[in-house]
Amino acid sequence: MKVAVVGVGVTKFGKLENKTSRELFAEAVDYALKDADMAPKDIESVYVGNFTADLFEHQGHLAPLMADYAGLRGLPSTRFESACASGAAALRHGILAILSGLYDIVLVGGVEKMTDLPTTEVTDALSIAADNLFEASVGATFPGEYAMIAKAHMDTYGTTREQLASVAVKNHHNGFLNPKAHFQKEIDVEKVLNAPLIAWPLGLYDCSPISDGAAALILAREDVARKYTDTPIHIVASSQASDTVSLFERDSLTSLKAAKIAAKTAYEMAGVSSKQINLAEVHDCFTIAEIIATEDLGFFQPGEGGPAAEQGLTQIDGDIAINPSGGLKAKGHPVGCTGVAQAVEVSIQLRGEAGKRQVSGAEIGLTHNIGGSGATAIIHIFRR
Amino acid sequence: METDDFSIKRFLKYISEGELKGLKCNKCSNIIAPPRLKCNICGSSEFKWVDLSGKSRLLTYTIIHVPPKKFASESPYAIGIVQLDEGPRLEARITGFDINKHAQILKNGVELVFEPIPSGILSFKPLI
Ligand SMILES: [Zn+2]
Repeated sequence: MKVAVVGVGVTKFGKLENKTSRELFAEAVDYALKDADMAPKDIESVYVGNFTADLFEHQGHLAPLMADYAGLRGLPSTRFESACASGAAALRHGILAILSGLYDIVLVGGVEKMTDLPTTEVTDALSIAADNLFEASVGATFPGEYAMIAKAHMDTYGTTREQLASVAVKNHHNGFLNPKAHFQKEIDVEKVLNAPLIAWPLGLYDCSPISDGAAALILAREDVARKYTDTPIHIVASSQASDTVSLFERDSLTSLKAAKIAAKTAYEMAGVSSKQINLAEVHDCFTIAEIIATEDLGFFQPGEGGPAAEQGLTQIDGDIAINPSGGLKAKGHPVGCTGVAQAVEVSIQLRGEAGKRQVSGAEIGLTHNIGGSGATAIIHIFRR
Repeated sequence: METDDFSIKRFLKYISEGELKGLKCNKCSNIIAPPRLKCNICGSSEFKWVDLSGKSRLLTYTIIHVPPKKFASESPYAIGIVQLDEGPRLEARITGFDINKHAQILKNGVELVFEPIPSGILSFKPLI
């Protein structure tokens, strides 16, 4: 694809009371510039992923604001909104801009500042990712949509709450190894099963948290990438697909068709099979979402994702490392930042710089970023 | 309202008035709900409103314990995806049963009927 990652940066995720989105964004960009040994003047264009600063901070017109505070005033700057897949949408458009031949070096960032609002208002804000006329109107919530997917998956394949819980336990363990993660404590299956219900059958520990955070990537055309780094991470596939925003109009309630289409396209583009992927950062906004992701991406057969998680096949040292960062579940889910943060983690892993959570010998990594309950799916594949 | 108003707003107004109606395609007899500009089978835009039986089957459901602000006083409540006998699927409240016994009552594929509720929200109840 002739595009490489040459710099990465990510802030601490969590409830960061004293930081606004512009400060978080500037911090992530600063890390990425230092990582690439670049100055702001080297950047030619800016792509910002953000879901809804409009509702979280009453702030629109986000891209120039972010660019300005990050020392990139004057550059073309555009914000991308695709619900929880906003970050990967920004990344994809940064890649497309380089492939167009217009730019050699661009900055992709993602940011969300969620914790200024009380939980009920965050729930309301997130629900705009669903179909307002036919889903939100009857009282559905975002956890509710995934709960209905979980119930359908349980009825169809016999997936259990214990299997869902094993995803949360694994991701908390990985988050425990990641100093930037929102949660850095281990939990056990009992704790997940005994937590208060959010949307039956999903409880509190089946859900990703409400987090603040930002991440940034510097992309360069391959032929200039080596000027800035000895370890460029090559982007070998970028794919995207869509489906109905409303869950009830989908062909399947147990898999995400858009993710399956995007995966097929991505594997073809990269010339690799699912078996060759060493690690994947997947969109585990809820525990069931990770199980379905591992099936949609072809790592396991439909219905085998639950048992695979329970048997430890998705641990850092398992057959396929899923969410070594801790995932959305434990690393945190600042919505519009997530897709960019996933790419940061895969880049760090492929460089071999992930410390205690390093997937040994990682050569090929994948990111899977989903918007809403599956209406947007964006997949990227990276090689060292 | 005019008889040729095949809009989403008309569809929702029927529901709030306690009626469940769908569009019937004049060309291929396909039933469409919620309304779309064109028939998803044949592409025609010639429709008439028809009464739907309200008979349906439950495909999946959840119990909402942390509701949106607007429905805060109503939780816990059930939301489900139903498949109407006429074909279309809808997302709706599931009411008219003891929510504490939801796992026994809302078995996979249980039969439901359209049940207008005072709030005007689309609702179905189990046939028990
Ligand atoms: Zn037709």
